[in-house]
Amino acid sequence: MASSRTNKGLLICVLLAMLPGCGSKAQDQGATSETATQADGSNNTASFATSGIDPATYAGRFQIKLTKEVPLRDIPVPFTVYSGLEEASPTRLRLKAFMDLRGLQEKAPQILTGPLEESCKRQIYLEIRDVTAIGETVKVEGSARAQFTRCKRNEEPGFRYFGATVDAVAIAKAVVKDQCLTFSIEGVDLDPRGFIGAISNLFGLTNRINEAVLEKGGEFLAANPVCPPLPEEFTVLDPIYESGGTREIAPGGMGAAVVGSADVSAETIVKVLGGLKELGVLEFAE
Amino acid sequence: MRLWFLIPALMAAALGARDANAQQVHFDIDATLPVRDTELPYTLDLNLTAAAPTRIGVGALLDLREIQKIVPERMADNAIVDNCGLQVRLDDLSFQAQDEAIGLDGGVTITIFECSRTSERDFQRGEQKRAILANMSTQATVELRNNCAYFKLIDLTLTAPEAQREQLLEDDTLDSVKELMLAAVDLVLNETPLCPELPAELASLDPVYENGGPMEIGDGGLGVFLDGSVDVSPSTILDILTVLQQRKLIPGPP
Repeated sequence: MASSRTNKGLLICVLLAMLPGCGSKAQDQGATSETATQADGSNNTASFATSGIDPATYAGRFQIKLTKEVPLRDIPVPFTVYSGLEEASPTRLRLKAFMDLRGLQEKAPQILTGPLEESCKRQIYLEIRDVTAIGETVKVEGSARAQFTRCKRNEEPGFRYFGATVDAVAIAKAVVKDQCLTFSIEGVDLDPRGFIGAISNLFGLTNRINEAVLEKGGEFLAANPVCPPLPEEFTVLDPIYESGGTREIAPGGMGAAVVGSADVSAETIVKVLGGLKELGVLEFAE
Repeated sequence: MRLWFLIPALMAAALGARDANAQQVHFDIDATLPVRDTELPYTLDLNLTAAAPTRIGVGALLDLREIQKIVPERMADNAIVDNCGLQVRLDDLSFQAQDEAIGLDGGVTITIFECSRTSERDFQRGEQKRAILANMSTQATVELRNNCAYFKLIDLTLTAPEAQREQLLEDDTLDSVKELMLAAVDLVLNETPLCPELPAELASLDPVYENGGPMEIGDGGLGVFLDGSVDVSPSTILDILTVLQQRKLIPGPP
């Protein structure tokens, strides 16, 4: 039963794991006025003021801004990525990227609300209310409705012996692993509602909901690292991402920063040219 | 949840692009050779190879087969030498690349006129004295100077038909025609160097050519090769990306 598996993803999990390959397309989020043509960062302070994104997070001699809209579960989600490249040494390029994820943040409740687990012994449904970035973590607020049932012989849910709705707050964090951002849940805080809530605590059911969320969510996150949606032109550089994670675009806006580098030799340049040719941007003959 | 399958697919696409040609890349570039008041089209086949950690080997092959077709047509009615007492016209010219040389063959009409001096500086062409049809054959080669390829005639042989031989010997006509032709052709060739110019996107890869010469393309097709290299650094990539951005081929800066 595919749909009953983890796919609905944990709170954040899904959320964050979705960014990746997305390559995204979008309009600029927020009231960003575009300081359009400036490659050398002389207007940096101006764009900082309007977008709330520190230009230092994507500084470089060559800068590029991508806006892409990607449909996630049929919901169009705008992504904006700022990247910069500069020479770090005679054989290395430094790459910085900042991803504006506020579009995703806004659509997240719509995208993530749904079943997290639908097995015969328990069914957990999530309802996401709000996603907020706090410093280098992401806070996801919502509620989890859990039902515990006995499994029937045909592995269908049978007699329901307990049900409860709990308010949930999860904190997630991203680390750079290999070339991707891997998200993990720092903690889940469940707050059972009312009398039933108190009973569920008594029977240790809150803990079981907690475990279910952590386990299913953890599995999901480990299996779905986020590989930064950088310009295709960069992928041919085969960069190594050294550090990064989610960052707050004050106040509360979700973003992610990544810093990496790429070895550059004559071979790399030839490869890059080959890649650019494949992408159809280097065409000189009819 | 289909979405998740997109991610590996996209990554595979990126990797595919990356593998395209690890060690070398080839570009076909439309180029033109300015000659006097016109431009002749040719194709520049550019081959870039990683030669050393910070050096890219550049092999340029100028495919001149189009010019090879056009030039004899354009030359047909033009006199190569046209002075008071002598006119030399090329009747039909063909050139063929033969391995590493270029062979030119054609018929030449040499017309000799009376020529009288009318003042210190002026001459007046008079009546036609005689006309000779001669066969011309010559070989050309390519020299590399100032990063450009120059055609150069090696030698020129003019042969007149038996019947006109004696007449010619009298005044060494063929020898003087030959000298004049060589001088005239060299003048034209020196004015038309082949300096392959790279498109703006690749301008930062402007190579220094060390070697060059004629090269046969296919059967008798005229080509010129230039071999050289260019030193590269990470900023070479930044230069290329910046040009692509200026030309709006990739998204712009923030």
